[in-house]
Order: sequence, then C-alpha cells, then structure tokens
Amino acid sequence: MLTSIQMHNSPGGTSCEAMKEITATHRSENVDAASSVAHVVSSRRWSFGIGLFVLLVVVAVAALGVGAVSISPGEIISILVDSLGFPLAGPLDSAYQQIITSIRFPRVALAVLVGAGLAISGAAMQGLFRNPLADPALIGISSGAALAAVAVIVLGATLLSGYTAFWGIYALPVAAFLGGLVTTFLVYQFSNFNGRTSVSTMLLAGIAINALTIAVTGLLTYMANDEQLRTLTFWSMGSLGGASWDELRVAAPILLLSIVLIPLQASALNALLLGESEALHLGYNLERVKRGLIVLVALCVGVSVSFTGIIGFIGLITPHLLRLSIGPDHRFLLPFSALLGASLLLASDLLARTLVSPAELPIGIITSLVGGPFFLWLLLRQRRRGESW
Amino acid sequence: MLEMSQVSYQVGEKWLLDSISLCIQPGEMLALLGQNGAGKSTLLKVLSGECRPASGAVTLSGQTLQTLSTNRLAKQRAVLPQKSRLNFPFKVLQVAMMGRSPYRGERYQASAEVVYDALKATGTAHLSERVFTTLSGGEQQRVHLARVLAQIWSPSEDNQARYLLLDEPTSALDLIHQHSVLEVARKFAREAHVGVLAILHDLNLAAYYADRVAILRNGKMLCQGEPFHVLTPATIYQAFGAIVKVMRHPERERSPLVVWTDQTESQSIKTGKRSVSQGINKSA
Repeated sequence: MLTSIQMHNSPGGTSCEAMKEITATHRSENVDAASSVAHVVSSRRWSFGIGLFVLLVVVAVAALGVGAVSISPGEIISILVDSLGFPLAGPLDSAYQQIITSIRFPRVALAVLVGAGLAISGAAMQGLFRNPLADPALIGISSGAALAAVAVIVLGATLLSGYTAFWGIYALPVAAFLGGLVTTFLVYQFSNFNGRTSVSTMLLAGIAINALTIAVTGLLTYMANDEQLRTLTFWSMGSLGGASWDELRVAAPILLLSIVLIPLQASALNALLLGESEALHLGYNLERVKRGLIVLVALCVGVSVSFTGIIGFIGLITPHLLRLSIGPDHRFLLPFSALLGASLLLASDLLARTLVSPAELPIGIITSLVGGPFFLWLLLRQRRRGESW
Repeated sequence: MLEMSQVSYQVGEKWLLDSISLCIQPGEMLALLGQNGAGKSTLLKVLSGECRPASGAVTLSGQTLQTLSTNRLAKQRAVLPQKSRLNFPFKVLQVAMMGRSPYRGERYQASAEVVYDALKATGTAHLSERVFTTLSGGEQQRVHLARVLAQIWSPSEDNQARYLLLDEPTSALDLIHQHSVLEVARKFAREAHVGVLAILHDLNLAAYYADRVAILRNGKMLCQGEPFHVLTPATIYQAFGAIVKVMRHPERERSPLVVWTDQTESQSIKTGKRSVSQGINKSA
C-alpha cells in the first residue's frame, strides 16, 4: 500500500517518479537480499554458539582430567558414561572413579553453573541499566551478601549464636543469600515510585546502599579477631573448593532456573536499549520485565556468592567480549554469555588449583588479575577505534 | 478516533496540562504548536498512555487507554520520541526490526518486507547494514521514523484505526529532510488512513503539511482548527509573544505563510486593534 512513498535520498532530490518505479521493482529483490544477508549473519552466529559449546566441553574435560592425579579424556568419558548407568566394557579404576564423581565433577558442575549464572546476570544488568559498565554488584547483591557473611563469621559465636546453631554448616551461605536479596530489595524499593521503577535512581540508590553495607562490613572486620579475619578474607576472595554434591543439589536448581528464564526477556532488553518509553511504546510490560529480571539476577548471584564467595569480573567482561564478535543483540548475547562465562570460570578455577599446587589460590584473585588488565585493554581498543559504548 | 477529553496532568504543585480536549481522526494530520514548556511533550506522553492523566480520560476508539494491554496499544499507535539515545552498536536493520516487536511470532520474511518498505519510505534502505551509532543525527532520526512506521505499517487483524505520534520529528534534520519526513507522515496519513499528530516548532511547516493545527499555551489549549483559522497574527502573538505577518502561500491557496517582522516597529498589534482585526478578517 505504501510502497510508493519515497523520500529524497540526496539533497539534489532524485526524481520521485523514477524512484517509485525503481522502488516497486526492486523491493522484492532487496527483501530477498536482506533476508539472505540476515540468514548468513544468523548462521554465522549459530556456528559461533556451537564453537562456544565445544570450547566449554573441552575446558570441562580438561578440568576433570587435570589435578594431583591426571586422568585421560578417554577414561573420563567411560567413567561419566558408566555413572549414568551404561556400564562400558572393561574394568574401571575405582580410585579414578571416586576422584571424578565425588570430587572433580561437583566442582566442575558448580563452576559451570556459577560462571554461566554470573555472566548471564551481568549481560542482563548491562541491558537493563543500558550501561555497559553495570554488573550485578551494582544493585547491592554482592555487598549485601558480604555484609551478612561477615556478620555470621564475626558474630556467629556471640550475638548470632542461635542462628548459627540452627543452620549449622549452611549458616554462612544462607546468610549471604538472604543478605544479597534484602539489599537488592532495598535498592529496588528506593527506585520505585508510583508503580514505576526508575533505572537511574536505582543505580544511584545502589551506589549509596553499597557504600553503607561496605562501611558496616568494615566495622565488623575491625571487631574481628585474627582467626575470623582469615576466614572472611578467604570468603571475600572466592573459592570453588567447597563444592560437593550436597551444595550442588541446592545451588543447581536455582542457577539453572535463572539461566533458562533470563534469555526469555531478550527482545524486551533489546527494546529497552532504545530507552524506557520506547520499549513501553513497543508494547512491552516493562514493570514485569524489570521485576522479573531483578528477582532472577538476585537469586542467581545470591546463590553463587553464598556458595563461592565474591568472584569478580566474570559478569562484567563476558558480555563485552561477546559484543565484540556478535554485536549487542540479546537473543544471542544472553545464551552465549552463559556458555562463555562457564568456560571462563572453569578455566580460572583450573588455574587456581594448579598454579601453586598442592595449595590453591582464591579464584577471585585469578579472575581479577586477568580481568582487570583485559578490561583496560578493551577500553583502549575501543577508544582507538573511536567507538563508544 | 484517538481522543482526550478534559485531561489535566500535574507534577508536584504545577499543572502541566489543564483540562485539554483534543481528538485525532484517522487519515488526518494534526500539528501541535506552542512555546517551549507549553506542555506539548506532556500532552503527547498522556496521549500515548505513557503517563496517566490526573483527571479526564484518553480514549482509543472509545476505550480508555489504561484498559488496553500494552501489546494491543502498540499495534495501534506508534510514538517517535524527541530524542532517542542508543549507545549499543546495533545494525540499522536490527533497529528498524524492533518496530515489529509487538507482532511476536510473525515470520521473519514478513517482518523483513515491512521493515524494508518502511526503511525505503524514509530514504534509509541503503543504510540497512550500517551500524546505527555511526550514522549522523539526521540519519538516526529517519531510521527511528522507519521503526515507528514499521510498527503500525498495516492494520492489525481486527482492522483497528492506527495513530502515529511524532515529538519534534524534524528537529535534527536539514531543509530537504524536514520536508521529506513530513511528506512521508502526511502520505502515511492519507494512504494508510492513519491519524498523525506531530509536535512542530516551525509554523510554516505546520501550515504547509497539517490539516489542523492546535496551539498550547501554559498547559491550556489556546485554539485549534484549520491552519488559516488558527495561524493568525493575534493567536501567534498570544502563543509566542511574537509579532508576525500572515500571508497566503504563493502556490497554495489554503496554506498560510507566517513571516517574521521587526519586533519593535509594529507595536500596533499589542496596543491598537488594527493588525489583530486584520488577521481575524483574513481567516474568516
């Protein structure tokens, strides 16, 4: 109906009638060309995704095989297939079997889920805040979790003895999880007015509440004795060392839920990059999108932090790395972030436990040592190309 | 019909809109004029459903906006905001494709066809593979126009009326593109039978393209009607405090032409009745 509309392409004003003719005849060809270009682009993206998946499998097999005892990929596969209930021919080394199934596998699985969760949460937060520097820490999850954890470590024997007695070994993760959730809720409430959530108020409220929780954490640290200081230092640097089947059973369902549900908001996040009113005018129920994403991210990061401590940079860097190669489209960015984040955390954990073997480095140190300079390099590269985020 | 009746809107103690009534018919082009801060953008926000009026109601084909789902609303009215900031390096085609987001489940090919037509209509089809953030301001504005055109390109299943709300669509554009954007909007109104409301600052653009003109002053509706009735020296003085002469467009009988005059010389308009009555006589 409207194919005849044609604007001047050049200030000279091309003859409108001629353009109409050209437009009418070339329209279908152009659409075909466009969709074939789009197909090439998206098939390139899908092969990129398959590549990321293969990378994850390779890193996972390496992580299962490398350690104090090295186990070959062939043996790893037979052990895994065997424990799924399909015994292969040939006897398996029961010591190897023990190492894989009860020590390395839970650790690798937790690394994969936490890495994927942190990265996908980071990508979602950067989209929600329309700010490439956003990460889950901005809405107070990490600092709230840290405050609660430090409170349990320092006051566990005195003020909070009832609480620690009730939760036993889960006292620390449960506190961290609740602490993260409560701070996020506070930040969210501050930015909520008349049923609308202002993303920029949220950013500022997040900064203020982060500062507050960090101050209280500092106060508690000041009160701590030497042994408590050591515990909380290690906690704040992150470690996957405590991974076991018991932890995995609690963490996996929540992390998986977030990793599966967050990508469902991909097109809403794309529209949100245009601006909030624009997304609203395009028919998205923004309040539901925002609330949903914040709850999922809080759950996901809360669980991660509570079991592994604070692991920085995975959530910030993974989406940036991907945007360089696949662009900002969240329909690809979110699932691919999960895949790449899992590989990155797995590789960092591999380094953490092999570099100073038989001792182990805190994983947060590895991710920040590698991540910090890498992020600076990204900034410089971007500046040289004259691009802005 | 997209209609607001007796709508008031308040922020803090200040009434930004004071019992405004306005309606847009499918197929017509309405220009909204007024000083900076007169309430034009607020009116557009209330009309689009982004803000809920403090009193009065906005209805789309008789139904209050707030009772319609956001998705239903998105298929019937598209909004081009004054300034869109997009800092992420999307391709132009991807940006325009976002206009099809209300139609979840639509085949890719079908979306691509609509989007290509819309890009072509705004003269930006040749940019479709470029990165949006590297375009000039004017090009970005036209891609956004293509996006909102694509959003309501054809009637939805139940053949409901469609409306296009443009907040200063020409502000970033040069002479040729100002006219081509409004030309596209008017053609869209005529051929697709879409009601268009455009906030404009250039009175002559409004006079040339609009079927009706409405002027806001301090949150109140000063007057609305056909360009020759509304764009008179008297109302323009009331609305903008500017002294102008109004002539006939040399080529178009029905279009007034507003000419800036020396603001100190023709004091008569403020004090005497001569120029004012002249303007009114001309429009009568």
